[in-house]
Amino acid sequence: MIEIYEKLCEITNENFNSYNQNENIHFETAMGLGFSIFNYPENKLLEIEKTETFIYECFYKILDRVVDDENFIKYKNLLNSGQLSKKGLIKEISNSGECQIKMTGLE
Amino acid sequence: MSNKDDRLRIMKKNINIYIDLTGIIKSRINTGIQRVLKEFLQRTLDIKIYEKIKFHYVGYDIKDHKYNYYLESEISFFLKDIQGHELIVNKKIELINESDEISIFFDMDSVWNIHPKRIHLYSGLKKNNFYIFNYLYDLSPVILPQYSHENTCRNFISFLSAVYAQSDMVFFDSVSAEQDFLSIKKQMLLTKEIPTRVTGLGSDFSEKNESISEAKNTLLQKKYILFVGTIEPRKDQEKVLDAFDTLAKKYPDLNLILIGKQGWKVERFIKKITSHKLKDKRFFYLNDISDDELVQFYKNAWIVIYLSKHEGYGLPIAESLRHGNITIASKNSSMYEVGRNFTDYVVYNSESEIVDNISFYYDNPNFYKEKKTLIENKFIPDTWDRVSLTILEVFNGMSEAIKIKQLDKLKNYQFVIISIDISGLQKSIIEIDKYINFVEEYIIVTPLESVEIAKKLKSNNKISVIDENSILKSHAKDFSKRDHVQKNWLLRCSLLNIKNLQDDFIMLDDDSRPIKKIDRKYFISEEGRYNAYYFYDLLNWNSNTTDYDKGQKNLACILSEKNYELLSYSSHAPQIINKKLFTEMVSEFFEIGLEKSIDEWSTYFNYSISKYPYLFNKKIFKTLNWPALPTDWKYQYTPDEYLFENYYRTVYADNPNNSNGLRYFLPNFTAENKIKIKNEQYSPHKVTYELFDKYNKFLAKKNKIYGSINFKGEGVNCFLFSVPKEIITVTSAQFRLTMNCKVWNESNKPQQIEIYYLISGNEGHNVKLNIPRDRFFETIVELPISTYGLQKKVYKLQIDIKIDGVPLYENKSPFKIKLRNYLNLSQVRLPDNFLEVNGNIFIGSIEIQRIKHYIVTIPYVGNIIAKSYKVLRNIINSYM
Repeated sequence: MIEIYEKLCEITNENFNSYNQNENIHFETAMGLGFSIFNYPENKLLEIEKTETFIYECFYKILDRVVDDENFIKYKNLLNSGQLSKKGLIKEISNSGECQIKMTGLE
Repeated sequence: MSNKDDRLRIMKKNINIYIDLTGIIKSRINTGIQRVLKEFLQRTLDIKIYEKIKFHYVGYDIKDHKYNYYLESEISFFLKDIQGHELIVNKKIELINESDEISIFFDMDSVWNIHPKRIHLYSGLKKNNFYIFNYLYDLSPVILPQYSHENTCRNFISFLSAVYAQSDMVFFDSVSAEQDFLSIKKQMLLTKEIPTRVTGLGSDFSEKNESISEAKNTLLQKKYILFVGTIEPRKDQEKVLDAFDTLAKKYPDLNLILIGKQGWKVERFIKKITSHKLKDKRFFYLNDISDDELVQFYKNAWIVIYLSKHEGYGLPIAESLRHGNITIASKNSSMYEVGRNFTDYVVYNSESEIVDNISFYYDNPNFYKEKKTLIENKFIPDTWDRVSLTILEVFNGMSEAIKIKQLDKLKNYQFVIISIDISGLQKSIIEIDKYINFVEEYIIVTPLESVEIAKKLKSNNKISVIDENSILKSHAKDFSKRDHVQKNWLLRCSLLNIKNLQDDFIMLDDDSRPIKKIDRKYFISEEGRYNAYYFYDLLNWNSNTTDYDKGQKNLACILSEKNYELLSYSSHAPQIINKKLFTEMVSEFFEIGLEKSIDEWSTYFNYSISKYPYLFNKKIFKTLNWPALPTDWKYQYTPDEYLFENYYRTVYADNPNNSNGLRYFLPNFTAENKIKIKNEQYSPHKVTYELFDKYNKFLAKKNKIYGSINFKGEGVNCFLFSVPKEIITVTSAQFRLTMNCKVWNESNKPQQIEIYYLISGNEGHNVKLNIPRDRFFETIVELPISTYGLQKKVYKLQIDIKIDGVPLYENKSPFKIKLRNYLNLSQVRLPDNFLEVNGNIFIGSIEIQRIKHYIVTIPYVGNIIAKSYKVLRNIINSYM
């Protein structure tokens, strides 16, 4: 399954690059696929070293969506400047209203 | 338990289908995929002819991570009021524990956006003996990701991974979507078997007769071109609006109406819409209309246009035709499957084609009237009832399919051959003996006069010879009067009269010869599925001269009426046949085949695969020399290996001195020799077609396409559509220029029209059309353009017609095509800076363009130089 997933990501990005050579579509890591947003272990997220990948993956695995540009820039700056830790970011997203709705279906 | 007991157990089982309604309950949407789901759900409640099928309706509850189970009555209320009805849960279930008898989890909603994600769910279900069935509509997020939202891409890829890994069967709305799925599977080198079935979509929806506002009623009175579809870059509404600018100047009473919600990445175009000078005067954009209003807009449209760069299906085309509208659409992905010959196509998506197609109907009201009448009388729209029945029949056939798949397979097979060429057959048997080690016996069916000769055939295996009359029985009378296709039909159907015919047997022609060692897996997979080898789509078979061609066309019509699949399986190689399914097919089609010529291979496989898709793997054929020459017809599907040869005596030379382009094989050639020669034969053709496809994009951008060209002769008015003004080719190729042809015959007698070309003043190939006495005639023509013997040079091609042998323009034809021919691919220069052909990247003439640009910018003399250059170039070209 993981192999298929990775190949599909690769094919999709190849197709995307024939339209736009300068960008790639972000996909969640294959590692993250094994867990749903309801049972995602925090330590798996914390294992991710690269800041950009970490932010993308947090949004995928906690909010089940692609990070928007505004939040991406905000959190990248906060993490890189040390004003926010990785654990802090996970906590902040997990406590958001959006996350509560995603986890309970209640609006 | 014995095999027999096991089979009985399966036969008695109910088939439980679980449908996940989580998405539609949450979104409450009644359009797109959700509408398909809604229509199907309604039929699961209404159609009660399949006693063994039981539907279960469930929805995932993320609060307790269990599935809610809904009773049929609840679903019935829900479908009547999708937006308002609050569903009452009957019980909570742990879905994975529900598997009983035969359980199928059937996903047909856009489930990639909901929980649980399929990448988690499917593996759990499979562990608990569920079958996973999917319905896929298109693979756009993978193929054209630039048109999808990033989140959709990400969710879809995860979902699609689960489908490829776990699905037991996938339904598709079009062959195009199916082929996209299979080609990605191939790209991933995934060998897992995933049976597929194409069903099409319904285009009927109920009207509620709601009232329509006065403003909209006023619009309905106008003469308007209608475009229905979400406003998004994929749909190309902008090109239609640009074309309308030209049309509006030509035709003062013509209007354009765009209907569709605003999609994403269209901010610039929306601005263009709102600031358009004709907005709300002659151009109208409606983004919020009801189903009833949409029906009214379809009913009153003068012409409907639907452009798209890629579609899973193209429902607006079917909806437009259903309302009897003249419909103009792009010709890519699934569009032709839906619109067939009832739709007019903008082949290259150029603005000139849009303008010319619409102008053609405006300027020729006789054609408009006849085409509209044709659509109203002949177009049979697909209905949700029929599509749902197609799916339900597959479910109904599942226990039989599982039973047949699980049967112990034979070790050796009977090879059943119809032959009138016993000496050729002897050579075929020698090759089969050499390469196939699972022959039980050869059963040779031959005319009485050949029986004794056939009995002298030599083989390592047993040979039984049967007089064809003994199996034809009462049909032996008049047999000789039938055409080639009907003879084959009768003989093959009569094979069922052979005593001791095995449950599975191999059917073949006497000229099918293996060229390599053949494994049993060629015929039947390790999982127990039959492999079915196709070579073409019946719908795309444009030849119309031989009995075989007519058989292909007849069958396409007959199968379409039954909503069966439409692939062509007469791949000129042996194929495995299941006797029981063959018997079913014969009982349904025998009489039809006596009245009209139909191809037996395609009838059997399309019937069986349509009913029992779970039992089959559809595969691209592996036959060398089908066709004998690349010029006979263009490959639609290219074999990735060759295992059998379709033996033609005429392509063999006695010795190397006699060898030429038509006699290209020698008797002592190995398989490798033959394949090498074949690949060399095909190479220039393949390159030319690839160049054509690449160059078209440039031509369309530059509007270098004749939207239509007109030949007006005595009593005959002929139009050809979508003709490129330039073509790039390489030497030793034949390229088929496909055009739509419309003829108005006022002569009150049948006519013969010959469409031909002149190359540098000399007459080239032609295509002949027999025009009936009817006034209106329309067909697709394929004009073969040959580059054999051409030099590296720009040639002037002129298109002309002959009416009953008399040319109209000859070398004065104003319809010129510039043909740039090269000796080989390495010489080719394409205009864009990055174009890939055959894996090679070409750096084109961009430098030349830069130089030209620089010259023009030189003060005073720049423009003079540029103009002089143009004049000089035109003079030179006119002499070529």
